[in-house]
Amino acid sequence: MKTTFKIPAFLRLKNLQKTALSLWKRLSPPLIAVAAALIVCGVLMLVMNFNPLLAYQALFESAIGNKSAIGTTIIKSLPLLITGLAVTIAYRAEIFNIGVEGQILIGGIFAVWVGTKVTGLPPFIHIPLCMIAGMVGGMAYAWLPAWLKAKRGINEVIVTLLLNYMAALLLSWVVRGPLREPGQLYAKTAEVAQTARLPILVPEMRLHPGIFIALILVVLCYFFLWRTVPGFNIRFVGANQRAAEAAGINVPKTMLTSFLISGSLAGLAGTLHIIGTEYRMLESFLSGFGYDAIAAALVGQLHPFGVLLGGFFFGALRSGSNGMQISLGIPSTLIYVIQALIILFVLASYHIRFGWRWWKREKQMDVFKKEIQPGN
Amino acid sequence: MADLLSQFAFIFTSLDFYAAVFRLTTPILLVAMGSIFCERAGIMNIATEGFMLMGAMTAVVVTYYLGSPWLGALGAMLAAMVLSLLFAVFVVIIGTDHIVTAVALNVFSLGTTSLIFRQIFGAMSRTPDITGLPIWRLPLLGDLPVLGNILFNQSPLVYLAFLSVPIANFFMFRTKWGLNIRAVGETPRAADTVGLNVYRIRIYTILVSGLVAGLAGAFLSIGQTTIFQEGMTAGRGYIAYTAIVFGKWNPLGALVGAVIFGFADALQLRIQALGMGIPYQFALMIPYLFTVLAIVFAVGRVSWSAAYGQPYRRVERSVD
Amino acid sequence: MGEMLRLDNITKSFPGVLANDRISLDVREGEILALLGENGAGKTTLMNCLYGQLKPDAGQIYWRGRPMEIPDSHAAVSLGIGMVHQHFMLVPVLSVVENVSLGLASTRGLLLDLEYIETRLNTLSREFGLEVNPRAVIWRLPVGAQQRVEILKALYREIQLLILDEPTAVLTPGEVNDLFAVLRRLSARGVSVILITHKLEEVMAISDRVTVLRDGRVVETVKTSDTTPHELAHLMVGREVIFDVHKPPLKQGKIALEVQNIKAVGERGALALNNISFSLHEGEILGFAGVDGNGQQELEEVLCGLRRIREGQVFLHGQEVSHYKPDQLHQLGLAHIPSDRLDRAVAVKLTVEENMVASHISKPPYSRRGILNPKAIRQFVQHSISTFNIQTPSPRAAVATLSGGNQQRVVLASALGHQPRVLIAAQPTRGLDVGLTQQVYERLVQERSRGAAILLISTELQEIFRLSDRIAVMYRGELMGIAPVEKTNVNQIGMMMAGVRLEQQEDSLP
Repeated sequence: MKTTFKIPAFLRLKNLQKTALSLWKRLSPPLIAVAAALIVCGVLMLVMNFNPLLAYQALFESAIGNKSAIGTTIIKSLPLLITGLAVTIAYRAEIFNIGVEGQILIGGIFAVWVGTKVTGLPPFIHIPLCMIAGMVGGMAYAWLPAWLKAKRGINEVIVTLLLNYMAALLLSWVVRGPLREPGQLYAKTAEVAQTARLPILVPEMRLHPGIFIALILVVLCYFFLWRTVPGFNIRFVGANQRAAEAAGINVPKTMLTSFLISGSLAGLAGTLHIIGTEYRMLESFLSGFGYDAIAAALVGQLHPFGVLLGGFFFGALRSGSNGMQISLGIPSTLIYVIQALIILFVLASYHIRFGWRWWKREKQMDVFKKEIQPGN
Repeated sequence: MADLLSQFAFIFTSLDFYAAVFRLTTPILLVAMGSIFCERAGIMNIATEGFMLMGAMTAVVVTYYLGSPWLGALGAMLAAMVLSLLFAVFVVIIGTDHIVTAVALNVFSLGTTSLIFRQIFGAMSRTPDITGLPIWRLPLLGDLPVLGNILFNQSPLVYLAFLSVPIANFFMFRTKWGLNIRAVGETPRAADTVGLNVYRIRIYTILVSGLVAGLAGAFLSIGQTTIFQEGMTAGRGYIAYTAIVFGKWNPLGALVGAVIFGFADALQLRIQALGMGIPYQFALMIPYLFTVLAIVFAVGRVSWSAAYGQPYRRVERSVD
Repeated sequence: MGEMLRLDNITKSFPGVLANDRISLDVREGEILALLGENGAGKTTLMNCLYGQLKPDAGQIYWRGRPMEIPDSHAAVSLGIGMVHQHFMLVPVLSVVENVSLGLASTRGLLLDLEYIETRLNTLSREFGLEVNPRAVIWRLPVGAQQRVEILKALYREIQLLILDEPTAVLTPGEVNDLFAVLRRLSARGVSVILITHKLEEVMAISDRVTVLRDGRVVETVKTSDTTPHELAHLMVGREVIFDVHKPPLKQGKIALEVQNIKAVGERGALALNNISFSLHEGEILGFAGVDGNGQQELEEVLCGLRRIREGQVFLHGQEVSHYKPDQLHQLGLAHIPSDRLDRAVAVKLTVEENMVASHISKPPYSRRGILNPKAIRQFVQHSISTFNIQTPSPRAAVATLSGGNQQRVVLASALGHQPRVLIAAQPTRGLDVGLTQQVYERLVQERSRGAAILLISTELQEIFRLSDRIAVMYRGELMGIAPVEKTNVNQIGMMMAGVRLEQQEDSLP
């Protein structure tokens, strides 16, 4: 008897093709959106008398050109990635938690407070304590919009936007007032105690163990959404709230859960950035990262593994734009434009075909009106 | 404590304070009156924040180059309208989510305005030397004792903002177009079957919101002051939206909301000016706090129409 | 009688469905043409093509002999075609005149001319016997009056052809007669009518000719006087129809569900259920008949824990459950087939599998300590898919990709999968074709034989009569009476649907 070598099912040509096709279907809209945004931005740079090719080259090099650049990119991707997960978990329940921006800050303030004011603890207690404080802070700041949304059906977007402004003001006060490092010219908080800091693993890249925490969170987030009852409930509520209610799912509780988890993740993102990288807060701490994270989540199609890619992409954009500003003098606010364009193009990619069909109909109607009007 | 009370008493008895309330209500009221129509037509429009910012930046730039604040205001309206056209294309024609699109556009506006401004005036945010919009002292009314100085010695845009309330109210409830707008927002399909063009009406109302929000932005940069700062609208678009919701989508109700927020804004300025031992950041929080409280206590379950904030699609799969 | 409208080989397909396949028909002046076909035969699609809401893929529309393109409904109206949709195209928060005035040029330019419209409206409503208060706000009007507004709206635009899509579904038998009288008056003045329906009696009662559709094709067009209901039924379904459900004799058990004097308010805050009391026994089907909007939906929601009870009590197997949440009621063996499939029953973006287990997900074996058990879920779903014969490419396909009938099977599988003791079945056959309807009937009778207590809410009187052991009727939120099926008839139920209590009509019993 001849023993036949069996190719595993997933490696067979047909299945490979199928997988490639479905992967392309999922990946192509965000990829096209990103490309389109970069092209439009290139045109914008041309108008402003910059050479877009040089600009993108500078961006690319200072994002992943060398080891330290990659390190910076990863460092910047971590808060984006974790906050992107926060956005994803809320969005799966049809909650647009744009308040992550503020929740990052409040989480950070809590963490700095615990990191600076509590002393004399061994690291294995102090570090988790900071992380818990950060999560509690983020969660606390998400509580009001979460409660309003779940119990009173009030749109979360406006409330969280307003809370973002207030969080920024609160931080501005904190770095000047209660947590200010004395004797410094610039307003900033004191550094967290050595016992509250994560160790640096790769010195030339300044990598810290937060990277593992982030990766674990990606997997946990996937497991939570697709393998647990609360995750199932979140997705069902997001897909059809009234059907969820009829199926016996406690809709307000589910919304509250997802919103609060989202807030605590955002708080954790701020915390890890403090205890892993910056050790303190400035007034500009992670400013705009919440909006970046929303873009990362949308580009990642609101799937944890997609968010992993999206987070890295926007991290690269963040660190690359600094290089662009330094070497070519292109204001780094350009990345706001890129980011906004990417969101718009991702949104459009879901709908564009429909819009096209509509246009064709509209044109028909105009022709028709011309035809019947004179006769009538 | 007594000291604090007397300071508040000082604020509330000062006539300047009430003049400031009128002045600070203006941008919010203008935006609210401009976007109340697209709100009624079923568009959840929080992109006015971005429209305003674009208007504020353009007003300064145009005034700087052409020398006339009036042309600046006109430029602001047109620039904001172009941005609102983009919003309309996305939410009405392509059918994207109103909120996410608006947020993206606001970020876009934040980025482009600072980019263009830095490109023109340099990164040091050197303030260009320009003249702002004039103050009009109204004949006769301006000479009234007490009231004359508070009410009738203001920028023309202040008068326009308050005048726009009865106009908007009349337009909304007494005219054909107002009826059409209300029908389109409430039951787009029914409006469509009687020949109203849902898309066109929605696009037009969005353009109006852009036009007016641009003017409100111009008021911020060349009406109240003569400078542009990055992100200077500071959430006024969102506050105006809240004023509309607070006023249950009625112009008169929105007026009440806008005045409350104008009051809060005036209050925080006074508190900052007086010091009073309150950190200025907390003073700055007052308008936001008022807005959040208004939402918490005055806004009920927001559900005036199932079609609100939803893209409209005429062609839908319908097999019996 | 000249030809007014002719459809020539109209074809319309949707992804995966050929809804209209080369359909040709014609309408003559002043004629009432019935368009007969079961759900899914393509009637509404065809009329939407005619009314400009869908664009046919192929074929030509002739209006008074001239070829026409109708790109939107405004164009249809300006030609003289009006349509009364099954779901009314009215703006609920506006008044009757405001609704009529929408889309018309005003005589006062930009200003509204409501007084002028009101006067003309009054004339019209007197002329055709369509009584309605022009100042009333739509959402406060009963459904029958809303329908009259729709017809008036069309007449105001001087239409020559009126299409009515299943107009009687929302009417009491008495109101149906009134409607038919209006239609006859219209036809006497030369206005043609297309009546879309799947009810044979209506066709026989009102139409001049009938065009029968089946599976998107025209089967035949006949003069009504030359045909019989039996023949029409055969044409419509394509085979002999045996509508009889074999129902074993009633074996009434203990009381399963008891409702005492409940009151509840509806969506707009008005009292929707007023003092409702009844009891439901094991092994029994209690049918709730009545025109939509008389409190049936609120009753459904109250019994399933989805709407708050203001007063009164509900007992499930003797235990008070008045304020229980849906999941608590599910625990006690209550299952629910929601009346509106897309609204409450399924989340179309999620998979067949997820939809089927949603109401049991938090219990073993489907999950333990919050962690899902994919194996147990898969097993249950595979079993249900074969039991209920659900046509799906995979258990992991999104429900949106399924046909309406298969979506309903998913709902049934979810509700019946765990042998419920009490079943609230609201409009269980809405939108299903005859074959599937028959299967649902058989399934419900099986559940009854098993000893389940079934509360059936339906607007289809025939369905109520075929399945129920007792029939209850609600009118404006009040119970008009409950009668055993063998001791009542359509007349008596019809009277109750119009608001005459059972005890008031005792003497009229056969």
